[in-house]
Order: sequence, then C-alpha cells, then structure tokens
Amino acid sequence: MLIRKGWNDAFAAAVAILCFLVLAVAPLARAQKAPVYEVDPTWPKPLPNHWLMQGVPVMVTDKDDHIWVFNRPRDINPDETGAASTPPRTDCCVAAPAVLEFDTAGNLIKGWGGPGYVQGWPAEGVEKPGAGAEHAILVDRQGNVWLGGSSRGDTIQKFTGDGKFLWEFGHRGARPTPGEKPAPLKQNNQDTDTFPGGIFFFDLDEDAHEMYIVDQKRVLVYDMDSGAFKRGWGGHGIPLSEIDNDPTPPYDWKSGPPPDQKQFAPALHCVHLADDGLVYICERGSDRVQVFTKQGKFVSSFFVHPSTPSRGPECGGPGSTLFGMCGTIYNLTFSHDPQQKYVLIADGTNDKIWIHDRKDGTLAGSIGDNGRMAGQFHWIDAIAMDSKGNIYTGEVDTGKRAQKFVLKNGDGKARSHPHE
Amino acid sequence: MPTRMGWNRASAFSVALCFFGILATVLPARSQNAPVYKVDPFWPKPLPNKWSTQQIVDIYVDKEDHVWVLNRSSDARPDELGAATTPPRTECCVIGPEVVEFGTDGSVLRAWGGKDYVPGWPGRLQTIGVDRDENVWISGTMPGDSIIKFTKDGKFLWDFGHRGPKVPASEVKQNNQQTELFPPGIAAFEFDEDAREIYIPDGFLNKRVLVYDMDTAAFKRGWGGKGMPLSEIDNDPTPPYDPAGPPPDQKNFAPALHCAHPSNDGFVYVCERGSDRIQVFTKQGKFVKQFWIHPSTQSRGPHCGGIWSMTDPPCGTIYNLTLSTDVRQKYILVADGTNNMVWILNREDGALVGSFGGNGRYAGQLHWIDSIAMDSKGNVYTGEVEDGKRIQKFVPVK
Repeated sequence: MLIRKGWNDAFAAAVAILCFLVLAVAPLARAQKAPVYEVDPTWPKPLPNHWLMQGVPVMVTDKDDHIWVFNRPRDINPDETGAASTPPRTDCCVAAPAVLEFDTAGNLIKGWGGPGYVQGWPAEGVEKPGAGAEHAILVDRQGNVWLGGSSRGDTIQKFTGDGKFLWEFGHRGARPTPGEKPAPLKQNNQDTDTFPGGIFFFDLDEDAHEMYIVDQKRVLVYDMDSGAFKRGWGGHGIPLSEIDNDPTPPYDWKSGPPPDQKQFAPALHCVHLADDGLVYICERGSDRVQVFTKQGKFVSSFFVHPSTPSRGPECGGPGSTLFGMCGTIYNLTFSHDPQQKYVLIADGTNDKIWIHDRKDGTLAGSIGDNGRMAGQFHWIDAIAMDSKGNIYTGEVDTGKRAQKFVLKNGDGKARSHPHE
Repeated sequence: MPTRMGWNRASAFSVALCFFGILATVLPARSQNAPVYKVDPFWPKPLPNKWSTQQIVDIYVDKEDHVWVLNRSSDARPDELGAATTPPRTECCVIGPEVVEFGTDGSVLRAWGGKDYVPGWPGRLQTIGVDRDENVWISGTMPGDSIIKFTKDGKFLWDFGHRGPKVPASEVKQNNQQTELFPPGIAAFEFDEDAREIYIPDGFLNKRVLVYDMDTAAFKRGWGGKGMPLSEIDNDPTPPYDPAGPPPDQKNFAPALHCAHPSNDGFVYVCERGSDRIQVFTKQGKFVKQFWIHPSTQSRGPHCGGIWSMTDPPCGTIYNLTLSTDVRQKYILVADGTNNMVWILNREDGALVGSFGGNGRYAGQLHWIDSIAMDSKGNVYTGEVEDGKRIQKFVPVK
C-alpha cells in the first residue's frame, strides 16, 4: 500500500504538472477579442443540512471575493421540501436561509435570515409572496449586509455580516392587510418620502455616503447613514417634477426596437455605480441601459438585443402558459479590470449574458443559452463578478441556482487579468 | 493558421492524456464494492437548431450504445419557445423532435417525430424501446394512445393497436379482465426478443402485467400482484394506508405500475410505485420475490401531488429501473423521482449498496428523475420531467 501510495503521489504530481502546462499553453491558441468564460459545474459545493437554494434575484461579491446570494425561501415547492415534515416524507430538502455567503471555491461560509428573522423582514407575514419578497443585497466595505425587499411595505435593512440587525432605512409604505387584496398601486414619481412598492434595487456610493435607488420611473439618491433624501431624476435626466404618472405606452415590437422615449419605461431593474463615477441604470422596459453622472445628467444609452419585446400586453411572468417574458436587462455588472472595460448584462428573457463594451456600448460577446444544463440558464436574474474576473449568476422561476463562470484569456495574451 | 491548428491538436491530446492520467491515478485507490458514479456535466452537447430540451420521460440504449430519448413536448412553456414566433421574440428555442438519438459523444445522430408526425402519434409520450433490428417503438398515456413502431430513421412500420376510445381520462374505468383494449393508453413496455414477446405493465389505472406477441399483437398471458390470475384482480381503487409506516404487503398491485423489465436470466422486474416495491416474477407470471425501496416515503394515498402541484409532493419511489449491463446483471438501478435519487441494489437479494443524485438543479443532482438506462460500458443515463427537463450522463469511477 505504501508503495502504491508513493507511486500514486508521484504520478499525481506528474499529472498536475502536465495539466498546468496544458492550461498554460491552451489559451495561446485562441485569438478572440472578447473575454471567454467556462462554467465551473462543481461550484458551489452541495449545501449542508438538506438546504435547497431557491430563486436568486440578486447576488453580489464583497471585498474578500466572497459571494453573497440572496435567495427566496418561500419559492420552495412541495416536491422540494419533503424533509420539512414530521416524519420527513423524503430525504431532502428544506429551504436554505435567505442569505448565503460562499467563497470562490464554493464552500458555504454562512447562512442566515429568512421569513420572520427580524421584524420588518421582506414580505412579512406573507406565506407565498412570489417575486415580491427578498430581492436586493449589497455588502459594504465594512462587511455589513444591506437587504431590500420588493413587496409592499418593504424597505432596506442593514445587518452585520453575521446577521445581527443594525439599522433600517425606513421610508416604508403601508403593509397590506392580511387576507385582503390591496388596491393597485398608483404611480407617484414626485413623492420621495415613501416606497409603497418596496425597494427592488439599490447601490451605495460609500465615498459620498449616498445610496442610489431605482423606483417607478426615476432614480433617487439618499444619505446612506441618515436616510435623508438628497436628489433624483427621471429618464434622460429629466427632473422629478417632469416625470408623468401614467402607464407607459406599448409599442409594436414586431416592427422594430423600443422607441427612444424620454421617460423611463419600467421596470427599472438595477442601478450600479462604475469606478469612474458614472451611474448605470437597467431600463428593462426599453431593452436599454442609460448612463448618467452622479448628479443625474444624461450621458449616453445603448440598447441590448432590442428585437426582444421589452414591454406591452404580451409579456408573461413566472409560470405563464401564454407568453414569454419581456425585456433583456435584468441586471448588469462591470468587468473586474481597473478600466471596467465591459458591461455584462443578465438577460433572463433570452437566458444569456450579453457582453458589451462599456465605452461605446457595442456587443462584444455572449455566454449561455436557454436550458437546464450546467452553463445554461433558466431565467437568469442576478450577475456579479469577483476580483479575478469570475462571473457568478443567479436564476429565478424554476431555475433556482447560482453558477460560476471562470474567465479564460480569450484574446490570446497570457496575463493574470485578462480584461486588461 | 496551420501552425495554430497544430497547437490546438497538441493541446487537445495533452488534455486527453492528462485526463486519462488522472483517471488512472484515482481508480486503483478505491476499494468499495458498490459502483460509484460521477456526472459528466458536458454530456450531451447542446441541441442543434435551437431545439428546446423538454421532459426526458424515457431513455433506451440500443445495441450500438446510442442513447434514444423521448423529448416530450407537451409541457413546453412560452418562456422556452421564444424563437418559434414570427419574428422571433428571443434567441432560443423551438419545440424540437420528440425522438432524439444521441451518439456516445453526446451529439445528435437522428431526430424525428412529434405531434401529428403520423396518425396515432401519442398524445402524451411515455416509453421508448429500440429492438435488435434497430426499429424504434414508442407509446403514450392518453386515452386512445398505443404503441407505434418505426424504423430508426422514423419511417412508420406498424401499429400495435388495442387502442381505447379517445375520451377524457376521467371517463376511463378499471377493468383488469379484458385484454382487448388499453383504454388509459400504454404507459410502459419492454421486449423479450428471443420469445418475440412484449411485456406491458398495465398499471396507471389497472393492476396487471400483460404479455403480447410482438409481431402479431395477439394476447398471450397476464397476471396480477403476487402472480394472481387476471380473473382474481379486483377493479376497486387501491385503499390508502398510514404513511407513518411502510406500505402494507398487499396482494393486488398498487398502481401506478411504472415498468416491467425482463432480465437476461428470465425474470421480470415490475416497478410497483404505489407500494414502493419491486416485484419479481418468472416470465410465466409466477411470483418469485419482492424488494422494498425506501418505503418510509409515502407511496400513494391522499396528499400525493403530480407534476406542477403547488400543494402536495409526489409519492412512490420507483419511477423506473434498469438492470446493470454486466453479464450477470448484478445490480438494479432504481430511478426515484420523489427522493430524486438513483438507488443501487443487489439484484440477487435487493440489498441497498449505493446511491447517487440528490434533489436539486445542479449537474449530478436530479429534479423529478423519471427515466434511467445503462450502456454496455456501464455509463448511466437519467432523464428528468416536470421542470427538470434534462438528460444527464453518469460515468462509473470504479
């Protein structure tokens, strides 16, 4: 046995060296311009405690390259939760905690949170909230975790990395009376005191101590410490007072791309600050990214696969047996190089990541396709990138997973940061 | 360019060598008895022509080790068919053919069939078989469905007949005595080609195994649970039981019967999902023995949900099985779509010797596994239904 073990070790070492050589050599043969990614089908490792990941609307990476997944425990269906009954009906599973922290190797570091975790948790008291539940997550430089909920009466709450409640943003709208179907929300793009529909997406500008929130047809900026309102704007940078409170008109998607309208077309699906101070808004209702200064001056915009219908009557939601979804911009992230050369867009309608050049908005590549296999997507909704350029994605509806894609040196030049 | 091409070939060869080296290193280090499997996350290759992968309700490996699957399109959703509109809403996908043949490398070799392909195409596909002459047989579970036989290229050859009327499924009644018609359709079948016989577990509603001539479709024999004669099978609903304990050892089969597979040594293995049980018979229908599969899982009764149920989980642990392809067929591999596991049993004594899978969406996990097959090299193929919609390959590592 000792001999065999020694031989095995020696052989393993030889194989490892050989593999390293192969990896080092293989990229030289490629000559593409856009970065190339390969799925890592072994990431993350299986969860402990019979936990099953549910829909992942948003995920982020922190300064230590840990990956924080916000998933919706109440998405779980009876065929997934057999271990929750007494006695258990099946070997697996129970819903995982809402907040899951992974390292780049796919180990689960922490898991906490979920319905009833603290007072004011998203969709409080609602048994099956669907998409109006846990939604946005962000980890600041101090390692504190900020969570936003997307049902009526939800806001943003701030926790330590271990899940200890610290603070809440406030500005809550009214919670619906349990058991009663609430009246439809009315648009009000001039009120900056409350968020009646909850808070779907936000980002922090920690140098300026500001928080950016997308809501209705506008971008709003608040003090991230006091929660005080600072400024806001609408599509193309119009002042809040000029935003209409009317439904967005439909358009004929079969005849061409969405019209270049002045007002934002909901849903606004992300706000992200680039390192150079520009603010990127996912305007899903127009298949478009709009770019602003931090003061709300319109800079540029670019369409993303605008042959896909972005809004209108023929747009299905989760489980729809009538229509597919609409809009191509569910979320975006920037490439990890100092220049942030690329914008990577999660498109849950085409189930692709579109890679656009950040400077001129041109399409440079894509990853993935509609399907259930490793590297394919079903309703990709979340995207994040670590400091090495690895991409992490999250899927909702029945996709219910987080995946990792590893950056290869796509342009043929060997270096540690292929985007540079 | 030729230089670059050469580099790529060299790289590919090195990678292959490297992979082979790793396998060679790992294999001798293990010393378990039960087979161990590892998923190949990159099999099969993506389907061509923007075809959507739908519910893989059954899999059959032919004598060339080609993998034939039923790609059941009846539960396709609009979010998967965006390329089927004019103009296309999205990049992908369209409904593809319902019969797909994969080579061992995971590429599509043949694909054909679908709604209205020929008169009598099953309304809801359930089972596929490929005989020694490379003809492809398929069946379905809607009232009025039967078995149809095609060449491997999809040319219609023969219809098994015995079709019931096309009526709503709720109007079909149990009748375990008549052998002329299959009013609920034909859920499953398997050949015994030496005897030119076809075995049909008629058990989505009824409670019996029937044997027909596979050339003339003439009825030959049949039996019920524990081998009772057809005349003794009751036509009543199967009583529920207290799922705090295992299912009772009842004499009548408890539907659904999900498979009937003859072994090389002349036994017939019947998947009795309604009892979490495999019953083993001689080919003449004499009861030989039975194995319970994870019987703590509720097998039937109230609070058993079907696919898409938002209120109840599924029940039963035996959705299908395959016998290992070694000469002695040492193992039975059971597809359990409720626990989402593949259970590996000794065929001789039914002892549980291994398992793989787990409930989930990742490569190697399973969501509603419903089909399983093994090729001559020992690779296992699994298919998932509901919104699992995948075919996966598991490679033996021991």
